[in-house]
Amino acid sequence: MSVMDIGSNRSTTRQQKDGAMDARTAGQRLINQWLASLGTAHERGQHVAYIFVMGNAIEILRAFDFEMAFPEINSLQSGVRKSAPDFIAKAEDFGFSPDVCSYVKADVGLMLSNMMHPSGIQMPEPDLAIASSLCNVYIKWAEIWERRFGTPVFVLDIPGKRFATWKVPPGSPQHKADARWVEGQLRDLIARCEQITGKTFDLDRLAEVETYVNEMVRLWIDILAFNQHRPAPYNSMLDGLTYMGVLNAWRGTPEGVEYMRLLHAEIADKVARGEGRVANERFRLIFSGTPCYVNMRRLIELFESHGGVFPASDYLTYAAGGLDSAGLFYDTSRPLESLAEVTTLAAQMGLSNHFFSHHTLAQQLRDYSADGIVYHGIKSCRTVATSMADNREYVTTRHGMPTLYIESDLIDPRYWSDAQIKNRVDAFFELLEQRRNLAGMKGRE
Amino acid sequence: MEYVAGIDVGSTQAKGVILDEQGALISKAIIDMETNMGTAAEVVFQHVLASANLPARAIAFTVATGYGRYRVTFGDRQVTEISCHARGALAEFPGTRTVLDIGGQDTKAIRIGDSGEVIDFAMNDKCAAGTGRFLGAASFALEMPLSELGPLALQSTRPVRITTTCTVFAETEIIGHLAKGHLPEDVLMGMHYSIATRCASLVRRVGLTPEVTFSGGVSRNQAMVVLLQEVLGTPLNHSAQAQFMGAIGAALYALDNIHLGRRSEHSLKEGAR
Amino acid sequence: MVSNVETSLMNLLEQCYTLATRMGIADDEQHSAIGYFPVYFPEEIVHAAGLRPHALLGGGNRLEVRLADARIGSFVCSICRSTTELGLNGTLRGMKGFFTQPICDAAKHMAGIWGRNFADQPSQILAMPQNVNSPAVVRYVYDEYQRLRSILTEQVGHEITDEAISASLRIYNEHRLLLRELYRVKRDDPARLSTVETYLLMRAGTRIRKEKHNDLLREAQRLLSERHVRPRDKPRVIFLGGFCEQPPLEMLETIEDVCFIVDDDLLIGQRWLTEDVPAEEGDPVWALAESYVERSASSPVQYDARKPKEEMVMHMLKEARAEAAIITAAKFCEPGLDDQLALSHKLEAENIPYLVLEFEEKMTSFEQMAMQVETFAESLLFH
Repeated sequence: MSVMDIGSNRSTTRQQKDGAMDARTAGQRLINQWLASLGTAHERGQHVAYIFVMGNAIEILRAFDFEMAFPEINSLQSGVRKSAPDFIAKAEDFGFSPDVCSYVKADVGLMLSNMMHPSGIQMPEPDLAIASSLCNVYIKWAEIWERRFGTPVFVLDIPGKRFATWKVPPGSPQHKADARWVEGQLRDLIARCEQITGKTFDLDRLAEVETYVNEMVRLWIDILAFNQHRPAPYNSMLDGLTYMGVLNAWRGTPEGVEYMRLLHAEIADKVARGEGRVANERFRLIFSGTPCYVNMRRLIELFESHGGVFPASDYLTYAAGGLDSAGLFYDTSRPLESLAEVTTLAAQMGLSNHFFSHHTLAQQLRDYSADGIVYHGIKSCRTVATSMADNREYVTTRHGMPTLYIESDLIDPRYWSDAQIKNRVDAFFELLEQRRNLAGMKGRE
Repeated sequence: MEYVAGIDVGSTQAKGVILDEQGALISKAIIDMETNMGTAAEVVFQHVLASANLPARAIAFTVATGYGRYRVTFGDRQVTEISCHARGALAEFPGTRTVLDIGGQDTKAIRIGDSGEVIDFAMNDKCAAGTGRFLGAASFALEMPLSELGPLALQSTRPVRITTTCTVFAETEIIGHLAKGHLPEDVLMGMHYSIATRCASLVRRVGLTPEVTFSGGVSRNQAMVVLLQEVLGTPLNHSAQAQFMGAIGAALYALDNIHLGRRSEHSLKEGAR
Repeated sequence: MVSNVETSLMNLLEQCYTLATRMGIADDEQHSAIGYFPVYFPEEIVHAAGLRPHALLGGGNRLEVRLADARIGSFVCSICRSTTELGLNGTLRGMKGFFTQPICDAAKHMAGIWGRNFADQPSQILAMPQNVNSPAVVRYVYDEYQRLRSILTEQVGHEITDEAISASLRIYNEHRLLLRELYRVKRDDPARLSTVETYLLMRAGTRIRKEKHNDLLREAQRLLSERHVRPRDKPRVIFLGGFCEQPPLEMLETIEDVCFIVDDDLLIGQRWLTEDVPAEEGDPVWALAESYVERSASSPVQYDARKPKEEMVMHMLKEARAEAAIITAAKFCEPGLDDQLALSHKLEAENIPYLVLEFEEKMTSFEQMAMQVETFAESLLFH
């Protein structure tokens, strides 16, 4: 089983007209390939980098031929595969407070289980860790590896949005100042990588990786936009998650590009045929927050059973590394400078949005013709959930938009209460139906 | 004459009401919950039928609500208690635009529109503080029945501030205050105040819009009524029918079904109470 | 009979208590105070603009939280909640601006909350770096400080000159010196000056202009030197966990009943820069930025590869000649809780006695804590 298995069962493996593989199978294969490769990295003499989805300089790491591990993906998989409770219990026995992020605890549990991951892969210890400042917990998490494995930690500080209406035109003095700082750190990182790997940095290789990323970004932006159609061809909080797994793990590679092309063609085809994710799409909703990986399918089922679909979510932006948010592509003639510039923009336009998300949500409501917003608060994640209630209040009052607030956790099943969540979801759909009926009645008057 | 039934299967009690096709309340029944929600639903249904002197086949449509709504085998439709409380409150107090329901285990605040449709809702169902359970801790610590807590609290002149937010530690804190010599009524008032502020917070989350109707078992506690009015700064509607509001709302939804999609604008007839 | 010195000290401390517990902006300071969320803030730049930096330290344990609960999740530290409450209930009316920093994820959210609810008080994140180890960092901090300077320039409507900033640096250097001196007395002669007294003296400075505070501290110094001291013998401990949300005074009193707290990280933001900032020549903003990077303290919310937490705690114990540590964390404070665990493990490994406590700024009952602390202190006598 792989991270792909949290996706839909609805589309069974289909061969395309010319006999080529479908995206789902291709994606599954790529994930398995990646994990297998990770498990044998040290044997092959490859170095392993632990990185996070929001801000990771993966392009530079690829230039040094690092094998990438994503502890966030390890942790979410432990949720999907039901080993999270065991890992979390081990971490709490070790001394971690119940209030600490459950991803961190699942990772500590993995460490305390001899790095044996439920996927069957023995996770390698890191030779380098990159923790961006876009989530402060990343930094505390990396300190744990520093402590346990003696891992060199590189904190990549990416200055984010300073306030809600912060606008940074590319090339403006403010953008230049922030990008200069990021570039300085990237140069520092390159020196570090040379030390660790013994290799010399190859600027051309960086440019090559960036070319692949550019193509993946172009396709990803289209894929996100496809869901503006009615009916939405995929559910951003179920299918979207499987796309993201490949997007992150294979970012900047020809295989990643190939996958995205396949995916793009499939979804374009669905749009052309008017095939929706849900047979009878009744309500389109924006999802704000993270998935509940331990009950991902169930959560979506609760909505889809009422004909509700999620064409968009802010999760797809930030957990895909903000690939859609800069609207700019790498200038491969100045690969390093451009990497810094685009990384800064991605942070400011996409990845630091949770703190000011009322703007983006309003935009998404319009773009995706949405009927409401579902806020999913996470008990152990302050990045996502601290001001959700305030955000919701603002959006509901300003836009008169129906919103639902539900709460659980990323992977800790103790915070999932099926009856309570179902109750709230059912009540929300009753609310939406009533609203639609009333609007209909008013229309007839 | 056609009849409809509303069955509310909650965590502590099961309630049933029967209305006639004009919305007049014919009978009502309430029982304490058994372990089997399906059985409890059937038992309360039998009681309410007996009370109305009607056979089961006389009921044209039954709507089930409450946490156990899917276990009601004879239910024709399930509607959440959020929607049902909204309808029930509006039927009893037509000026209602906000409902605060404090139950034994959960608390809900609901904002409703002119036709009783739910505009927004907020629930406290994870934590017992701010629900009737908090008073349960007081009842235990003071060795007094729940029904006496309100009247005693109202005698307080200097309420003690309760800081614990956990029902489990509430008992310890109460005993601590009593040991220091604080009067039981002052400690009790502090507890009530604690619940009131938490509930007020929920109401503000959905947006306080007059009139506010207070329902649920705890609404029969006079001290809570007084305090909530003070904390919210607005008078509250409350009635002796508080516990049946969900079942009545469910029955009104049932009435919709037999009136071919027209929303029923019935309010409960005086004589039937 | 209480001496004159003691009476004067008591009066001074009373004054400090009143100042320290003042939450709002005084009438004569309306629209000239800039609020900032913990931990450290380059106050000198605000001072040079003629404005007063107002450290937001939470609502303490007398504040009734009624409005903020509807806005902030329950699994968030109390200081975020109480600060929001102070905004919503009007206490912070008259504040000219609100700054927060990327010390943690909850703090970053404060900028969003402030922006949505208090449009008349421009709010922003001052993006202090979590990486202070890359060479380019001083330039970055400098740029961010200059950005702050231009925001304040716009607000006050006149230039903030380099000379003005240098003058502020000198006042703040004096301030830092006075605080270091206070801490030295507390460490070397804890019977003469308690942590609660030090705390009140220090915290009062977050409510008045630094020049005035310097005067107050000098007066305190004078009185302390004349104070009649009764020698006491209590275990010497360090206290960690007061870097952001503040423990209630009663908690510190409870600990001081049985221990001498000879060093701590209380209000560490006020003592962040550990030495003078060069104010005589060169660019004063550059000097301030460079001091942040090169001559500063440490805390769970600032990553610095040169200052691993385990080393910092051992260093503190040694410098303070302390025999044990009280490692606290505010409830729901993720960085605090993470470091608390790391420090516990280190102290365990080094066989140094330690006590782990969790607190909330809004606590009002301390019986349980007193019991734990007393038991701990007793165990130290037999260690």
